Formats: sequence, structure tokens, C-alpha cells
Amino acid sequence: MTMDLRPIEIEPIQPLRRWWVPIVFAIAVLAIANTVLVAIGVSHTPRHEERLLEAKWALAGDTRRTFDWVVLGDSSATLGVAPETLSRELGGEAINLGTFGAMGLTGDVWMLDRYLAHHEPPRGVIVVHAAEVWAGHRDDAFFQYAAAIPISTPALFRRLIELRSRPSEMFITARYRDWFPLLTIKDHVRGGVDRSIDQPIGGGDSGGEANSVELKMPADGTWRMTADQARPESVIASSRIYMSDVVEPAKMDPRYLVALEELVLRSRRDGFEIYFSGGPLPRLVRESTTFDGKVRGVTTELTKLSDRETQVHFVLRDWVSFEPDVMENCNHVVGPAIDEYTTQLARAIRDSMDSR
Amino acid sequence: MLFNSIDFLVFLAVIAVIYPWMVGRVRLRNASLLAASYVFYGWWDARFLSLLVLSTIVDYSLARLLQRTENVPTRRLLLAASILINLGILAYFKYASFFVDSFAEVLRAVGMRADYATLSIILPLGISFYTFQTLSYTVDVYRRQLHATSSLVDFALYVSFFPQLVAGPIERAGELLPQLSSPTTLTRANFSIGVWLILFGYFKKVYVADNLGASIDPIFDDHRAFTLADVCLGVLGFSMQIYGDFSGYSDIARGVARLLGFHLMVNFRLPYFATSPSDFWQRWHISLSTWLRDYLYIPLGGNRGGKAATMRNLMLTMLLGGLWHGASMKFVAWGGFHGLLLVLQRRGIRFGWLGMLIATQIGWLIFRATSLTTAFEMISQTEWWWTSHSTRLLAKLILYAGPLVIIDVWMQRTGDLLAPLRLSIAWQATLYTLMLAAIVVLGFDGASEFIYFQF
Repeated sequence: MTMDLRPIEIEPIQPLRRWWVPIVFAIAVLAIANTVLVAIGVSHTPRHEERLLEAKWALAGDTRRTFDWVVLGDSSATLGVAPETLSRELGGEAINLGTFGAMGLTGDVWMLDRYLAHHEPPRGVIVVHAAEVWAGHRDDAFFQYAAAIPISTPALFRRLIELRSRPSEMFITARYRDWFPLLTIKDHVRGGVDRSIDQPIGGGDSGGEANSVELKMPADGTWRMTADQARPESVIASSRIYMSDVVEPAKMDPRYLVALEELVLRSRRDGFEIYFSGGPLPRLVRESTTFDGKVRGVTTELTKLSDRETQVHFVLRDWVSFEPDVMENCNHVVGPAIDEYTTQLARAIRDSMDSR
Repeated sequence: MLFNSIDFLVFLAVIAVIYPWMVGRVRLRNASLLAASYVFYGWWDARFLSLLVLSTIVDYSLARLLQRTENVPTRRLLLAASILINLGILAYFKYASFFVDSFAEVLRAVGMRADYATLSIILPLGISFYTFQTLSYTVDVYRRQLHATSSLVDFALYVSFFPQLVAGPIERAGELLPQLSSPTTLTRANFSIGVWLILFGYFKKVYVADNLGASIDPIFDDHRAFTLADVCLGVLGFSMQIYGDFSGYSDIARGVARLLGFHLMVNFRLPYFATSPSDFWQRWHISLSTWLRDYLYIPLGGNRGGKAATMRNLMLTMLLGGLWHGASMKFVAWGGFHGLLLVLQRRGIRFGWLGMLIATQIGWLIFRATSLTTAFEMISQTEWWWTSHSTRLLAKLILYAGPLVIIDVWMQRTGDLLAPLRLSIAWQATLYTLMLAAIVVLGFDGASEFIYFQF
């Protein structure tokens, strides 16, 4: 089979007088379709993370109950720390205001500020993050999710300026998405297309559409994200990726260092203890030779901070690891492992309290 | 600034508003476009503007000196200075870490200790592209093929012209500088072609390349979890991804330049219809392959020194062409592989369309795998069977790459890269609407970088 023809660009011999018609027509069709969608009340399709964020934001501002222990962090905290276990082990009431990895430590500051604005300071704040989040997982998706926080745009911008960050277009499209359903309906359309031909490939490490995480409201009214089934094969596969990603000791993101200082500042100002900890891990990751290199920067920073400030504690320094058959992905524990992880965390906190 | 970002669309809108007022005034137009180009580049990291300016001033000055000097040793010295400075900057920013790492590996291989601090050097965006552009200018002036321009602004704009600054096409001064020193006119043909190229470019990038990338990346991230059938589909997907990504960038660049009244060279001519290795390189990244031919292969002796010398020159050119893509052995191997194909062609091997397509896919496997070892591991898998996952992956390839294949077949059969512009206005409107809808509704979320930015 041979095709020797090498195409060239031949200028239109008679350029169309109405060259603009096709593109204007295309834009007009899409604009009309968008307007129709707005008119019939189709707004954006909320993502799972946004629903969680909105629920947690509301919870942090709910003044009906006060708490002794406030849990912050990413999905390893959201899924892995059970408030009832903390209450049992430490006494007092506990609330889990954890969100997900893309919110990072910056999200912790926002959530804590929200809580403190509506409540008396708690006895302790527990901040739990997965290793890669501590180690400087910086994701521009932060802006997209931050934009979903239900506060005014000027207030959001003020907070972003405080963080010396320039909002990306993800922020803008997320903030004003209700006006452009055609842009955001893609989640729905793409999801439908993908579902019709696809089961998710590979099994994502965290946060993807692939996992079996559900947003549920237990009887106590505290919204909680739950992973209800273990996926050991996916955990093993993503553990390998997790380890191969590490090539040198990672440092903490400068933006996260700012957020850490902000958290410490609040603990000093309002007189509560603050406990930093790593989330649960697969044993395969914990025992890999590269793991310590990955968290060296984190360990150094958190140790420095806890040595400097009496109210700051770095607990579970050796990390708690689990077999893949009780994990949903590299950062999420399921079933009895949630109680086990929380118990270990609570006991480390108690030890820290006792040693003072 | 990424072409597929809101920042760029706003930037382009501002230029569209003010540009018509300065089209006829060359100095004002060029000064404004230069300022816009520096804003475009500095948006990424303003610190590296200094490198761009340095490269501009060095080659402008050296070319001016070359123009005035008749003394041959002095001319050679000036040319050598340009080559040393340009390649020195490129070598430091792009290859220093690679050579330090490779040297340490050699030491370790012979049993010696190799303690060294790994260099952490940021690769300035587009450095490979604009360095080659400035270098070719000085060489052309040295060869007396070109008069050195007296206008620093024109030359600076030639080096930094924003549509093609960060990923080409690598324009020749002989083509672009005369356009920059003349008044432009905004014509219907330019608008018509410009709008089509931009739309087609975004379609290739946002709908085809980004969606394919999301589908095939897991295979390259963890190939052990997939069968050989999946790997083959992954490589096929990558071949369409990189084609959509890079030719999409070139189309957008050429389209934007057209709207401003300038012609940039065609960088891709339906490369997967190539029937031989030399045909492939006359269709793929044409601005680089012709650059390598004119400034490396021919100066090395080209095909003038007998069979052995020709083979050596081909291999050297392609190995260096591979290294141009990135500081990694896999790119050198990819270049070497294509060099070998060209040598085989010289020895009388006929490839044909299918043979060349398969050879190209093998090349892409080397190019995309995380390392050479991984590439070998991927094709030597013992689990080769077709799974339900393979079916789903094939469905995605058809969904995301199918429309581009159809358009390319149409262009190939008509022999016209602007075939869609010959359609009636109603059909054009339909095609534009479908493509815009695919970009908006099915395009991949977020502004992902173009693959060739890393080079």
C-alpha cells in the first residue's frame, strides 16, 4: 500500500466573503444551548469532593454543638479517624472536619478558622495527612475546590491573596460555573461516555471517580465520607506507583509551611494543643526503602515545630501501616482498621499529654 | 502562558482589539508585538526573560559584526562565539544534569565511587526552539545567505514572536524577518485560514490529545498491571496523543500568526501517511528536520562522501536530533532508532505505509516509556492476550482519535491541508459547530501543558 501524495496547503482561490459565518454560527449554537440549559435550571453537576466540602463547611459553622477535639486533614483523616473512637479514648466530644488531599494544609487553616469563628476553642486540634500530602502535594485543583466553599467571592479572593496565590482559571470556572452549564456539564457527559465504555483503569490512588467512597450522614448528624470496601489489588498496584514516584527526599511546599505556621499561630493565640500525624499507609509502602526519604523533609519540619512550640506535638512519627486487605487505596482504611488507626492515634496523643 | 488557558484567551482578545490600529505602522506594530511576546513568555517565569534577551542581543550583535567583516578568521571566530554561547546556554540548562548523572553512572559501572550533588536546574521554556532559531540566523549571515538586520526590535521579535516562541515551528530568519519588516494587511484569506487552524489546533489538543493522554497514562505508569495487547493500544494511543498535541500547538501558533498577518511554516503534513523514513521526516516536525538537514547533516558532509560517510552523517544527525528532545538516553535511543531506519532505507529496504507506521509506533514506545529498560519490559511481556480492558481502551481510541483520523484521511485523499475550507458555508458551519462542541463539552478538564514544552 503506497500513498506518495504529500498534501500541501493551497490558499483558497476565492476566499469566502463571509469567512466569519461558520465560526460565528458555531459560537451562537453553543451560546443558545447554554442559555437553554440555564433557562431550564441545569446548573453544574456537583462533584463528590464539592459536596463533602460544602457539608463540612456547614458543619464547622454549626453552633449547636461544641467539641473538645477537632480533626482536620485530607481524606486519610476524613475516612480514617472515627470521632466516636477518639471520644472513647480521650474523653469529650470529637468532630471530624477532614476534607481531601487537594485542599492541603491550606484547607485546614480555612476550616479551622471557620470552626473558631463559631465555637469556643477546643482542647486539641488533630491534623492528619497522607505522606504525599505532607510531602508537598501541590495541586492547582485546590483553587477549583476552594471556589466551591460557600463564601463571598471577595472573601475568597482575600484569602487567596493572603496565601500569595494567583487563582487559576479552574477557580474562575468553578466559581461561576452555574452560569456556564455547557462548560461544566462535561463532567456529566464525559462521565456518561466513560461509564458506557469503561470501568476505571488501574484504580486511582486517591480521590478519583474509581473508588467506592460515599458521602453519608450518620445518626449524629456529622457528615462523613466512608469507604465501605477494601480493594487490595488496587492498593498493591498503586503502592508500586507510590514508591516508584519517590526519587529524592521531598521538601514541604513553601505554601504548606506558611499554612503550618498559621495553624501554630492559632493554637498559641487560642490556647489549644495541636497534634500533627501521618495517615495510615499500606505496609508495602511503609517498608519500602524509599519511604523514609520521601517523608524526611516532613519529619524535619514537624520535629522542628514541635521542639519550638510547647503546644505543638508530632505524634505517630513511625507511621501506622496496614495490610492491603483492610484498605480502599493507599491512604484509606476500611472497616475495623478505622477503629484501630484512630485508637493508635488517640493513644499517641494521650502519651504526649501524659509526658508533659 | 498556555494556549489552552483563559489567560491566553484574554491576552489574545486584548491584542485583537488594539492590533488593527497598528497594522500599517511597522515600528509601532513590532514594538507592541515584542512587548506582548515578552509578557507572554514572562507570564511563565519572568526571570528567564533575561536569557531570551541575552540570546537576542548576542546574535544580533555578532551578526552585525559578521555583516561588516570580510576577514575570514575573524568571521569564523564570530560564528564560533555565537555557537559556543548559544549551545553553552542550552547545554547548561538542558544537559548539565544529564551529563553529570551519566558520568557518575559510568564511574559506578567501573567500580569507582561517584559522590556528587545532583544538579537541580529549571529548564527555561522554549529554550531549544529559540536557541536553534537564533543560531540559524547567525549561520545564514555567516554563509552570506542573509543580510543582518539593522533593527534590534525586528530581530528581537523574530526570536520571541509569541505564537511560535515556546514550541515552534522553528522559523528561518529568511522567511520571517522580511515579513516583520513589511507592513501587514488583514485579509479575508488570513482570517479564514487563521480561525480554522486555531479551531482545529484546539480540537487536536483538548479533545484528542488530552483525552487520549488520560486514557493511556496508566499503562505507561504501571505497565505490569496490563497485557501486551493493552501496551500496543497504549502506544497507538500515544502516537495519536503526541501528534494531536504537537501538531495542535503548531496549528494554533500558525493560526494566531495568520490572524496577525504573518505566515509560519507548515510543521506537520499528515505524518502517519508516510511511506518511508525520509518521507516521515518530511512530514513530522518539518521545521526541526529541515533545520537538522541544513545546519548539521549537510555541514557534516551530507551524502557527498560515499556510503559509509552518509550513514555516519545520518546516524549522527538523528542521534543529536534525539538528544535535542531531552536529556535522556531514551531520546538518544529514539533518535538512533530513526537514524537506523534512514540507514536501512539507504540500503534499499522498502517500508511501505504499513511498515513505516509500525516502525513509527516502535519509536514512540521508546520515546514515551519512562526508560529504555521499561520500554524493553513493556514489549517483552508474556501476558499478551486481549482483555475486556483492551476492548474499552480501543473504544476510547476510536472515540477520541477517530474523528482526527477521518479528517486526516480526507486531507490526504484531497492532497489539501485546507480541505475543510473548500466546503460550502453550511457544511463548514456544521463542522465548526461539532468541533467546538467537542472541545467545550467533551474536552479534557483543566489546562494541561503541551508535551513539547518539556523540550
